[in-house]
Amino acid sequence: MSPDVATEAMPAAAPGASDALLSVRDLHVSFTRGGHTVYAVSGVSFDLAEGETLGLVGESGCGKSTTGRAVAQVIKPTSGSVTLGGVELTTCRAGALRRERTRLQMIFQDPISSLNPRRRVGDIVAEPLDIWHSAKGAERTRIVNEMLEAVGLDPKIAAPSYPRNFSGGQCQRISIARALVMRPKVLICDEMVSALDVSVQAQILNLVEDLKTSYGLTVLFIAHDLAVVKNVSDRVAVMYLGRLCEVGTAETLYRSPRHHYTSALLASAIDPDPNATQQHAPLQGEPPSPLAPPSGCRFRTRCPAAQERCAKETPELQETEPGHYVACHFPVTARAA
Amino acid sequence: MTEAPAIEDRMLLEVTDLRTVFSTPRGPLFAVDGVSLSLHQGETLGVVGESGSGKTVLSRSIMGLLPGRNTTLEGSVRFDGQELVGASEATLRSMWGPRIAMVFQDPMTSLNPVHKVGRQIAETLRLHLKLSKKVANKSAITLLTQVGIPSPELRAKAYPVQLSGGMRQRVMIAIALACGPELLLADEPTTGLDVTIQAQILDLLAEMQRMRRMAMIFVTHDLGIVATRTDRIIVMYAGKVVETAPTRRLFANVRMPYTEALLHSTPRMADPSHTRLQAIEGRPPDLVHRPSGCSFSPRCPYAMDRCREESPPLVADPGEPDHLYACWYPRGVSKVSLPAREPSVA
Repeated sequence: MSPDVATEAMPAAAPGASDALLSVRDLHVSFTRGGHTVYAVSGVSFDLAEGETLGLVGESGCGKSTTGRAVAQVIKPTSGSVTLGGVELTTCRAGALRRERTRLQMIFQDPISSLNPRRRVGDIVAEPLDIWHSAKGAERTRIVNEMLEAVGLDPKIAAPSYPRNFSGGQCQRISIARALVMRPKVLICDEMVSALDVSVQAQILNLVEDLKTSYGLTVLFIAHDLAVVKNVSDRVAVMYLGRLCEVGTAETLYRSPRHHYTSALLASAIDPDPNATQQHAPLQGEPPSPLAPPSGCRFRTRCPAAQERCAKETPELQETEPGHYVACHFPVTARAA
Repeated sequence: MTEAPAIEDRMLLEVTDLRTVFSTPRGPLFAVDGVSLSLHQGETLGVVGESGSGKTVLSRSIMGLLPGRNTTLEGSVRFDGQELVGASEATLRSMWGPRIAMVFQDPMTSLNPVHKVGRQIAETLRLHLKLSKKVANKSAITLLTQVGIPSPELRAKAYPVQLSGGMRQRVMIAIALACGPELLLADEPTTGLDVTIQAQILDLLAEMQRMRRMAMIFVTHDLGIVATRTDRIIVMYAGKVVETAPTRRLFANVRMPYTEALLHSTPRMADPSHTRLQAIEGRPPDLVHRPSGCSFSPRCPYAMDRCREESPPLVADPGEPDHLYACWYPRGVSKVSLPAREPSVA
């Protein structure tokens, strides 16, 4: 994708963005267990423009997967709004929601457990068609074969086989075929390559890029691997303990992060290059429990720049430069690009 | 570490032509197939490969940790002059802990869930160093402090479930280091940990290594980790060493197409978004029915007839005795040698 498309992409936190395909506003998800409440997602807002890939990155427990699931309404959000092409999903009734969901599909991390081991691959891929009675007989076979071919599997061999005959990477291809068979507009990929070896991971990432073009997909790509996210995304949102810290174009965010957490996260990751300056752990300690998140800025307990104000006031996402949003009272000073 | 190599001359570990074969209902599975390596005191060796390449089986074979049934171990593992292949259980036990220790990938399943972590560390000390209960408990707390666990007295009384993944891995490292081993085998020690925690654990291992002048073998699938934190790298594919060289040299002059493919298929933060990755087509071979010739030939973009027929031996790069690779048509070398050999082609 050319860089100008990336800059044209809708700002993530701008309220009232009109041409967003998927719009998430002030999303909250909390779980209550044993009298304790876990605030998994606290006030997340972003937009996805048509044809865009937004990477959602963060460490385990930061709420990135919960966000993905709440967007797809797999988990009911506690509050907030999710609109897909103008239709509000959070208030949809069950039947209507099911219909809307054909336009919004998810792909999960574990490709093997997300396929029914007792069904043939052809039937797994055709299941959405069967549910919606949208194709039968020869037409059904034609669509399934076309999908399997699109994801790089030979339909003659794959369709009559069972998932156990396929490797992790191939199972992920089958999951992709199943997700795309209803021709959705939005694809939510939750850690879809993190269980795969690097050589297979590259195959799947390339496949997603190709399918994105040929099927006109808009992608929410959730992952913890910073290099993978950079590779597929036009824009990236960084999440910490249920909140978004920073949103910006992939290039800007990786080149000059403004939030201290983004900066630390990038400094912790290592490219396979012996000449890369050897980084020392930029962060001490571990993320606090989401059962009792810190007051004010949630990163302040590990932040090198934390001051009194950070404990009192919760920083909101603010546009520091066009298309770049940071939730920090004392952002990292912009490096010369 | 790469910055200031603290390599002494004393050879600590010498593995020669190690073969680990599992007998399976489908036939013998060659998990490790003729691997040789050597390690000096204070040196760090990275073993890189994808899943199924035999890297974990290699580290367990060196430790002598494989089940006896259905497993044949051939070749030689000499640790400080002592042969470990075929050594008695008692000999191995006397080595584990005080001389060789291991950190595994999954700290949850490696710790005993029903014992407090302090006790688990103290147990090691009492068993191997014959310390009294009181002294051992005290040392356990010192060790917890050394591995960077806050309020160690309190954490010593915690059960593994009460600790986070990063904390558990620190406890595992404390146990592994308890008896001051000369060699530490770390098998994917940071896989499954978050990147900020991973950086902390890697720093901790490096610091412990420097303090104790340990040799270390880092088994990982992550090229990023080995690039900055090892002296030398071994690349494994289908149970064999396909390339080995000092770390900087390996990254600068990749010879084996598999190593090259591995590097080119890894996404990098330094590259712009939407950079096309060079994926390796196909998947690793079945280790029971291995392809004839070079194991990588079915996936290799440069494979010729010879690659499919003859298995390439591990040979040294011309002028670089430290850099070995198993390839008939190594990358980068042909540019120099081809014009001389086949002038008619140009």
